[in-house]
Amino acid sequence: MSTDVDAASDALAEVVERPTGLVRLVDRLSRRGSVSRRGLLVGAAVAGSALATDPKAYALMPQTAYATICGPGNTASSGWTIFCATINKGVNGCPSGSFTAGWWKAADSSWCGGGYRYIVDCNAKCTRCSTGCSDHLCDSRCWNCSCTRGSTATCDQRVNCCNAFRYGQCNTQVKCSGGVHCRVVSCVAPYKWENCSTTSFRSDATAEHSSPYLPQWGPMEQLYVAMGGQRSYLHASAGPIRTTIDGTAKYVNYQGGRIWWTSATGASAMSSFVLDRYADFGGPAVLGYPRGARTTGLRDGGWVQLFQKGCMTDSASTTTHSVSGYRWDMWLASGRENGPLRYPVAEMETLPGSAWIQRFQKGCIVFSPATPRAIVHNYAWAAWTEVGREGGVLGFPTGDRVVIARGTTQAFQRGGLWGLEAARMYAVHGDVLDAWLAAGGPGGGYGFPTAHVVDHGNGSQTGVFEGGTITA
Amino acid sequence: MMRRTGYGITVEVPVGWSAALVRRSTSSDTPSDLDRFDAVTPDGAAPDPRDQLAERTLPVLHVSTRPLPETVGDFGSGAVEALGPEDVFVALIEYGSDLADTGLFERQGVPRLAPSQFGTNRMPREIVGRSASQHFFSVGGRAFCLFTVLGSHSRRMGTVPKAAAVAASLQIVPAATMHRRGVSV
Repeated sequence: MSTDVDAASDALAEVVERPTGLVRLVDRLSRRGSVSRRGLLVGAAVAGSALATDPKAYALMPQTAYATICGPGNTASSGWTIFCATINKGVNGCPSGSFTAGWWKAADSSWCGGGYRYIVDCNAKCTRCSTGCSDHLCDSRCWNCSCTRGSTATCDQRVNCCNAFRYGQCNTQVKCSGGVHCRVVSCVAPYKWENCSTTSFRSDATAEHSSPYLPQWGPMEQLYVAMGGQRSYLHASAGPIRTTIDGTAKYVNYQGGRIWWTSATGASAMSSFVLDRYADFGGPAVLGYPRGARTTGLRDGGWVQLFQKGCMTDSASTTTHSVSGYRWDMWLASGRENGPLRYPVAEMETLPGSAWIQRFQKGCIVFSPATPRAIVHNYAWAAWTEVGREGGVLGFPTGDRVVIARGTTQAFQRGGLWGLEAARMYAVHGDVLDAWLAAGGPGGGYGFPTAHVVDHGNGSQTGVFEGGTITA
Repeated sequence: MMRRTGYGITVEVPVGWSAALVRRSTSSDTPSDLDRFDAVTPDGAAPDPRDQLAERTLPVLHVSTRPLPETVGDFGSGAVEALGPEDVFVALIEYGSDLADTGLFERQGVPRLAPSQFGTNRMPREIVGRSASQHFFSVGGRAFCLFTVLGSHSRRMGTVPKAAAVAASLQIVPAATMHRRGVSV
């Protein structure tokens, strides 16, 4: 089945540039039976939005693809009501002063992947007066909107706030209302996201009505539907599908976030909060595009959203941060939030000399041009911090912590940290380090350090070890 | 006159008129391709109970002076476009007993139609010359909308009485009786 749909889609794509052949193709494919009308429309939606919306009109009439976006009956004389997205700053939701008053559905809509499309009327409230309510609709002078013909600035030139009608399944506690201000659409039944009855009415004539401000069917809308449409944290769409300036990604803005799509990542949603932080953290240039939904329920109430080049993450004990590039690779390899570093507590910080560090709850990932990227964590992190971190006596780490007999060690530019297993680590450096190593280091008679080497400021240092003290 | 009865609704259909009393099958509406999508809860939220809600269809009565096409929208799309100046289309649409007797459906009894109730903008979409009226009401614990379209607003004084006679002939079995019969309304 999918092969047939794909074939149909490919065939449609092939003739997009040759519209005169399109009618024959649509008819042939529809008659063939191997591709359902629904499947054909799905394929057409992929092949081209205009084509999908009104393929015959696109093929037969000398008009642009843009004009066919709005579907049939798009002029004021048709009598149909305009889409809210057209008059509500792109938002596919009821404008202020109107409310969800009723709905119907239309079958075989290319705007919903060939499935049912739900059209929801937003009726005006009777805010200016309450006369005329004997038949549940107040006089038009009471409505908080005025009847106008759609602007010619868009192809959705239908009437705005003119039809005194109510479908009547939603918000029935409102006894008296104004007429239809505008129409909202959804591929999710409105009783799943609004205060509406499940009583279904049907009028297929409106299946292809639309607005240039509504997102067309595709992977992003499919994800939106799977998330519950308007019921999801995304709420209503706030514009059509847009393409990034560099052309690498498409996106749809919603009241509560955004859905991204790239050929490499597919469609992924993010909340407005994450979107804002994503921008703060450098956006696609730093993190790439999202590859999946935010995953919650992690350690310490945390969440993570993965991107092509990193992630954004947060927990109950931390604030939202990103981890990207080499740092992401290393954090991931170390076990991410379940590894020794736990969650990030800061963004990457640049250090003098083109070095950098990113701090985590229990450590850091650090790099300098003279040393490799390394992780310093737990007791090593505590000890390194105590002795002044990269600006202290040890300098930058030259490798990760390694396990040795009875304990662990981590090497730094000017010394190292040693500690017994599951115990504090201590810095050993300078002449004391040389003498200790000459005496066998932790495996020798002195054993492991029990304190940081102390510099007396007069050229001498003292190190205290399990088996004695070295002063050099 | 011809009596038409079904779903606890009875109407007297004048000679020469056509009528249809249907309850659209929900099986003809589902499953949609979209209905088969698995709902996802990206934030790990519990499934929403509204996902378990299922659409319902309830009786719709259409009566018209003209022959009714095979496919007519519940509020007459597909039929009202063809009305001539002397034609009338009456629709009785049921909404469900859960909505009856309160709010929008608080009014009791089938309304009496009068020419003054009709307006040219009283339809889902305005069609030049047509005229319509809409009333929400309850009878016997059942919620309805009476939607009437005239072929010509200017001739409403002559055509509204015809529609009013049809509306006045409506008899509706109470919801409790229907429930005892095992019919959900």
